Parts: sequence; C-alpha cells; structure tokens
Amino acid sequence: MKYETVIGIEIHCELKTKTKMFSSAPVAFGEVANTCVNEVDLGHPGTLPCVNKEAVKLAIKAATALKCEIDPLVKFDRKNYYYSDLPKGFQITQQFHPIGKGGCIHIETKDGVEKDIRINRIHMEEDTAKQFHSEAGTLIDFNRAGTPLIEIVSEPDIRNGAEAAAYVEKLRTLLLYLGVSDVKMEEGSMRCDVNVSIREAGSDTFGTKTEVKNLNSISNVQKAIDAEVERQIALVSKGEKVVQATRRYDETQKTTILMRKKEGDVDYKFFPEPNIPPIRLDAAWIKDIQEHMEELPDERKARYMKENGLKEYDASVLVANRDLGDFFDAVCEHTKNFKKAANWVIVELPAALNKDNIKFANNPCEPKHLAAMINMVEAGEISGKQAKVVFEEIMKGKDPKTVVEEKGMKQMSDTSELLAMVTSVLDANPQSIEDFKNGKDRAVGFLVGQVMKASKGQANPALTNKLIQEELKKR
Amino acid sequence: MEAYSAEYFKKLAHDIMFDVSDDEVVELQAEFKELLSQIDVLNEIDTEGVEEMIYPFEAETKFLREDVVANVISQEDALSNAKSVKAGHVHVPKVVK
Repeated sequence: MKYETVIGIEIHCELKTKTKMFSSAPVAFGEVANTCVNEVDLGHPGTLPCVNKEAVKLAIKAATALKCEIDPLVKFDRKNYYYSDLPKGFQITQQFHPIGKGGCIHIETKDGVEKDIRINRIHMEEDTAKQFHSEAGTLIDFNRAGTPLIEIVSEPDIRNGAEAAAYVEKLRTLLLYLGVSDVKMEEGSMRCDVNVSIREAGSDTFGTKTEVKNLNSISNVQKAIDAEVERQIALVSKGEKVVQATRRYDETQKTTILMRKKEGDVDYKFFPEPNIPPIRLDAAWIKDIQEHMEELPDERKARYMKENGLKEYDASVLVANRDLGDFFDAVCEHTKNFKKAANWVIVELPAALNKDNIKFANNPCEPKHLAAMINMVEAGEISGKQAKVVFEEIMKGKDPKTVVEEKGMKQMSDTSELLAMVTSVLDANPQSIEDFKNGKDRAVGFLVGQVMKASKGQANPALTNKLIQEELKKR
Repeated sequence: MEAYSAEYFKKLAHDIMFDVSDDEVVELQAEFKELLSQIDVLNEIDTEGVEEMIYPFEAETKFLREDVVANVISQEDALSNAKSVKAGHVHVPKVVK
C-alpha cells in the first residue's frame, strides 16, 4: 500500500516583551530563580491579571504577517489543569476567540518544492514555570511563569519532514525579522509540537495521530518526523494499530519514544476568564501597527535582488542569516559596489570570524571600514591581493586607510614614477621587446610581472599594463 | 463509575485532596440530589436565542497595560509561602506529568 503522511504543527513562541502577559514583573532568561516574579505570577489569592499592550501588539504583527484575520475584540479563557508548573491551577489562554484566524504562509523546501501552508489560528497565552526533576524531587523556578506566548497552529497541510522543516524555518525567520520573539529553539523561546499520522494515499480521512514534543532544533523536527512516519508505516504494514500518544524524539536512538498514552482528549474544562472582560482594540491602533511593520524576509530578498542586483542565492544567504543581512545593509551605505560587498560579507567575513572563533555579536569589523576597503580596490588604490591583507587588519577593528599607510601598501598610481620603472624594465629585457614585436603577447605579462617585482607589488597592475603597451609600441 | 455514587464522591474528594467519611458521603449524596432537582427547574427555562451572559457588566473595556516593569517581589518573599525550599527553588515531590 502507498501511504501519505499528514502533519500539523503547533508552535509556541515567547514574545519579546519587557514584562509578563498579565503582570508587570520582568521577563528574563537565565536569571536567579524566583527573582522575576510577583503575586500575579505566583497565583496568590486576590490578584488580578492585566493584559500587556506590547504582547497584544506583537501578536497582531505575527497574525498580520501570517495573513490572519484579526479579531479586534480580545477575549481570554481558562484552561484548567492541576500541575506544579501552573500556580493558579489554570492557564489563561484564548481557546474560543483567538486573536488571529485563517492565515497562510508560503514555504519552499531545500529541494525547491513550493506550497502554501494554511494557518488555523494564532492565539495569546501565558507560559508555565520551569521545573527541574531529580530523584530528590522537583525544583520549581517561577521566573518563566506568565511569560507572554503566542501559539501558532497550522492546518494539517504538511506532507513530510522536509516541508515541516521549511515551515518552521520560515516562521522562525519571519518572527525574528518582526522582532516578535527571539525564536531560540535551543533556549526554548520557540517550541515545536508536531502531530503526525499516516493514511492510504488519496484517502481523505485521517489516521490515528501521535504528537511528538520537545523538538529543540529544526533539523530534529525533520528527523523526528521521518523516524515517526517510518515507525507508523512499519506498524500498519504489520497489521498493527498506531496508538494515540505523546512521544519524544531520542537523538541517540534516532527514533521516537513513548512519553504517555492519550486516552481520548483531556477535559480542560475551558471557560471564559471572568477576571478579564472583553477588550475592544482601537481600529486605528491596529492599522498603525500593520502599517509600520518591519521589512519581512521575502521583501528583503526581493530588495537585494532588485535594488542591489544580487543573485538569488546570495540574497537568500543574507536573508537566512539576519546578522549578515544587516551588516550587508550597513556596508552598502558606504559603497555602491554591492556585489563585491555581498561577496565579502557572505564568504570572507564568516570565514574570518570562524577562524578566530568569534561570535557575530562581537564582530570587530566595522561596516564602513569594509566598504572603504572595497572602494579602494575599485579605485585601483590597492590590488585584490593586498585587499586580503588589509581585510585581516580591518577584522581587528582597524581603519583600512591606516593599514594601507602603515604597511606602505598604497598602489603606485603615479604615472611618472611608474613610467621610470617601466622604462628601466624594458631596457633590461630586450628579448621580451623582440618577442612582443614577433606577436608574442605573453611578453607583456612577463614585463608587468617584472615591474610588479621591482615595485614590491605596489604598482597599479592596470596602469602598468597600459604603460608597457604604450612604451613597447614606441620602441 | 456511576454518577453521584458513593465511589464517585470518594474519588472526587481524593482528586481535590481531602478525605470524606462514609457518613459524609451519604450526606453529600442527599444534598446533591436536592441540588440537581433545583438545576432541573432551571433547565426548564427556554433559553432559545438568548446569548449567554459571561460578565455581570457587558460593556467592553479598552485598557491595556503599558509594557513597563513595575512590581517585582524579592526571592525571599516569593518563596515565603513554600513548604519546602531548595537552592532558591520551590521544592515539591516528584510528579512527572
């Protein structure tokens, strides 16, 4: 039998706000345990939630970028469950009235397959406390409790691991560009749950699904799905049934492992949050947010290709790595040679940083210095070869003009000085003059080389070539 | 499990972490019977086409809080109600969901 895979993805993203979703305590990562909390986060009796304006704004930005319809009447609901990571005994979420509904996102896999994935909903909620389990018990840090989250739920439009990886990557860059979230999967500011089922190809009913949780990288999303699909097909092929369950991906065993069985849906007894009356968002405010959104990745890529004349591959690399893209933009403020700038930024800069194990955030190279160096090559002030040496120095934070002066590198572009050198080289090589007259053009290259040698590499190659050609014709 | 049986009330009590004696269960059952008959009366009201009322005041609000850090409590205060504290964390018996 031929099988088809059906995948839906739920993504939780921590919003980049200063304070919690419903309290004015700070949002922080890696702080001393239980120091970024207040009575609201701890669920003390008598406290009331108060909705964070910035969190709503970021959710609107995300919903807009995902082409969702925005509900201007914000409502919250309670999801009730009893667990130690949830001090109130319920999570405030948007079960019945998500802020965004019915969107879509265009993806492209590594193999060039393009398709639209529909977005079911995007809603706001609060994060839980962080727990550390050990044999001696569970330690709870409430710093994360109440951190604003958005959950983005896709329709089951994804058909394989590669599409899932492309979807998560596309969302990740989108949210990063919009400044909605840090989207660090390894730190948990972006978390991904994948629902996987298989069915006979062409069927329109759904098979029993499993949920794979705790995927901490995009490559693991793909690997986990591939492994889970393989497991389900093996089961069904043997005539066994897929059991509805929550599973996790084990990287060492390269398979998914049962966490807990799900017997029917858990009853969370959802009901409207009585402590937050419906909030009507000002239409002008929503419009203002939508009109002042940051440049989206696809828009940036189009700009690089149209305005900077970059090839699609180079534009994609700069968009996929926002730091490099921002750096490129900064370099382009000081030079018009965009293609050369892209080449230095995409190839040489990361290589130099890697070599010295420097993180991009600590990049010592200033965009205007790199631009100045590119302009010096363009103007013939230094050669391409010298540029490599200059680059090593500007990677230490130096101004290329200073480097060129200190190293006495400046190309010799003074015609009279060069001419004297050319004349003496020609005088010393009568055989080459003879060869040139007999039609051997290679002689010119040899003579240029001699001048370069005499000038210790400082002669402007283009000018030297021109002078030699002129002088040879005179002889 | 049969609804409102003795076993049902024992389980419910256990779920919300208190004990009930057999006598108390009998009392609870009687009270529930009464309560349910009252709810049956409410169920007879025709609510066709009537929207549910969630909030006592149905006026919409507009207020959203500015994203400014204001109220943070100390770790000492945060942990002061905890029965057991270890290394600045609340410590509870291990219950893996």
